[in-house]
Amino acid sequence: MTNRRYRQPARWCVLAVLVLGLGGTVAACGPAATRSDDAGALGSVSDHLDDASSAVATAELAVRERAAGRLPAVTADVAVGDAVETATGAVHGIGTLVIAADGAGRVRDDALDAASGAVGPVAAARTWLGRPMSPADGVLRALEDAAGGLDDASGVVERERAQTAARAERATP
Amino acid sequence: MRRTRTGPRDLSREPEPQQPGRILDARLHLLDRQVLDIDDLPVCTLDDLELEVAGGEPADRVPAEDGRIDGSVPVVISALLTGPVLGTRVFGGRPPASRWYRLPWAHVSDVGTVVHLSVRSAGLDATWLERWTRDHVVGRIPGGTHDPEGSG
Amino acid sequence: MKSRLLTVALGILTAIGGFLDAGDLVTNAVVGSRFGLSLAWVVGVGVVGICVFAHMSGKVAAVSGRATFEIIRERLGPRTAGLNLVASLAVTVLTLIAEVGGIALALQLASSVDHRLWVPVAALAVWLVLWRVKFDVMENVTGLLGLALVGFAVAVFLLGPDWGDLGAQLVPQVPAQESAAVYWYFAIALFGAAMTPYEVFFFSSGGVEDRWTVRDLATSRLNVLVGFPLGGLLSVAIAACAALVLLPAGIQVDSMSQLTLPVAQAGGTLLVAVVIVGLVAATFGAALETALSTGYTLSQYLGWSWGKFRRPAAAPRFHLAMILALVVAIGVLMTNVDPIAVTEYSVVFSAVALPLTYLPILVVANDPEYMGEHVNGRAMNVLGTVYLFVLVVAALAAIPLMIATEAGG
Repeated sequence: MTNRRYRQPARWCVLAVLVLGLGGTVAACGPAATRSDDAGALGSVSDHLDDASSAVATAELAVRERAAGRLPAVTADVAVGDAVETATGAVHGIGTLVIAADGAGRVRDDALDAASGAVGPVAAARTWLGRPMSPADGVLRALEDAAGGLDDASGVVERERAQTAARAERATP
Repeated sequence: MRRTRTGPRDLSREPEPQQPGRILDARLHLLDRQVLDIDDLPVCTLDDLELEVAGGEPADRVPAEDGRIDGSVPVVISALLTGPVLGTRVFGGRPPASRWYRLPWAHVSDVGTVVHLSVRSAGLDATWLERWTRDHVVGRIPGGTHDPEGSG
Repeated sequence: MKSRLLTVALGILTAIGGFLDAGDLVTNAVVGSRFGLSLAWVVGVGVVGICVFAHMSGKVAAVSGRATFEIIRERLGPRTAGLNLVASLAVTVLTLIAEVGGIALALQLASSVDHRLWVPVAALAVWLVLWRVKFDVMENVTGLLGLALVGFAVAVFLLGPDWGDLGAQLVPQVPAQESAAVYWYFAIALFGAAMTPYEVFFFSSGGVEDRWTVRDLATSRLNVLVGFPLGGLLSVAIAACAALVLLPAGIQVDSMSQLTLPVAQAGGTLLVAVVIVGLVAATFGAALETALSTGYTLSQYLGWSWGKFRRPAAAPRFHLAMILALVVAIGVLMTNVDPIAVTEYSVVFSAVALPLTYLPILVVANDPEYMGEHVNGRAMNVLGTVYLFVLVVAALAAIPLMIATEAGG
């Protein structure tokens, strides 16, 4: 059998690694850490806005390729369907964040509006796919508008986040 | 690597006396090797060895990993063990003798990188679970006896 | 002579087609859309590593006739090998879940039928092949159909990129909008995707299934040394497609359907159809390999009869283990978990589990009792040891980086 002299220290080492690992996981992933302050929450808002932008861009690309006859109808439908899922996921993500400060809260509400506004055009793109031979211009314009709205909201969130972070820095010398 | 000898240990630093039969380092040559039957069909992995004090009573038989044989007396391997013995090798303890699946040493025909038996696995206690699975689960699914190397 | 040439060509082609699995597809697309080609070097490192260890495990199987996990158990004893088994099995089943999910997603692309409905169908098809089809037929068909993924490389050419610009991206550097931790997290993910542990089990056991002997070693070496680097090039082509089309559009890959968009832009409907065939074949082939690997590892640790070359009735517990693994895969996918997320986690945990499988192979390849005169040469050992070091570093860094970056957030 293994040398018994080394068993006890080995057990302590394993225990220590487990405790540290668990502690690290809780500290890093737990809701009590980074995301509880407003700067962290705004970071999450920003991530979700990126997701929504990505979904809008996906739908736009799929519609363009479909309109040019380069993408099979079924595949385009799946791509836009996935984009709708991502866009609604972003709305859900932003909507369920808890934010304390008034200013940051208003920014979040604007971001929520922008993200919600993006879902409609993406869903409309999927409807357009089901109607062959109608011009894609309207759908693409709506998607571009949504993308613009998301970009604006993203910029505002980033600014507010920088300010919140600076304020938090000043509060804790 | 832990490679202690389970057989007679050279406690006195004297050369080991010549003994009849083949001397095998249990850990190095036997334990955890694949056991194949006469048709090269896998039977089990060698989970433990049953040791018997040379010339002693059958009642003195114990699993090698039990720790009760301390190397002060010469022992011979009386059987290969498999089955629940594995659990006790991993977690400690000792299963009752009634739960051992014994493959008598007389069945062993060759020891190389695998242990060869001179009997068919179909008749061994150690493979009852294999037979049960075959008869009650896999054999009942259509195509279970189809030979994939045959017609394809 | 002609038939020998044909065998070699077939082996190389199946090695190319069989190199990619769901993990490679998803990770390369994700990385390409976020980092361009700045992580392509990791694929190179991974390909050399998988060549070294696939060759080593194939050689062990051919020379000793014993598969990997039998030897792991024999060398490490039941306790350490048991821990190794649990870890390897967990990662392999996770990979199996990702592959079955990948088949379902790929079939969805061709049918627009929801992937959750395809999951049981895909798993049943995998099981039927495991149950009925001859080993080499299974290998060759999925490998050759997987070659359709060459469509990604064709797409890169048709997109007509500025090659100098694309080449400049190959320099390892952290893009401005990403942090270094995220960069290294994805480096480990890509590395884990290229060197998944199940491949070692599969190669060594497949060598036993195909009854490799020392004479087949040259062929197997050629297959590996030519096939895998070309397969690696296909991985880079996927990343390049994403870097050329999705990155500028601001699209972050989070679904398999996005993989088809650059291909559509480059080659139109026909090329998309070809690529979808490739996606189905690659994930299907990998699902077969991972399912077999679960059966192999468990059977070899416990000494059960195993192998597709036997009738199912002659290896009942092996087949039962694979059936249970597939049932687990269906069950997990039916919880509505995102198969892409499962894939992303599976490649990272693969990286964590890699040293467990690779160290014993390296040890046994140096053991004259098993290998006789075919023990590793010095160059092979140096390479193997360097890789083991890389694997250990990647394995230790994987989980802390996962926590720090919130899984690449």
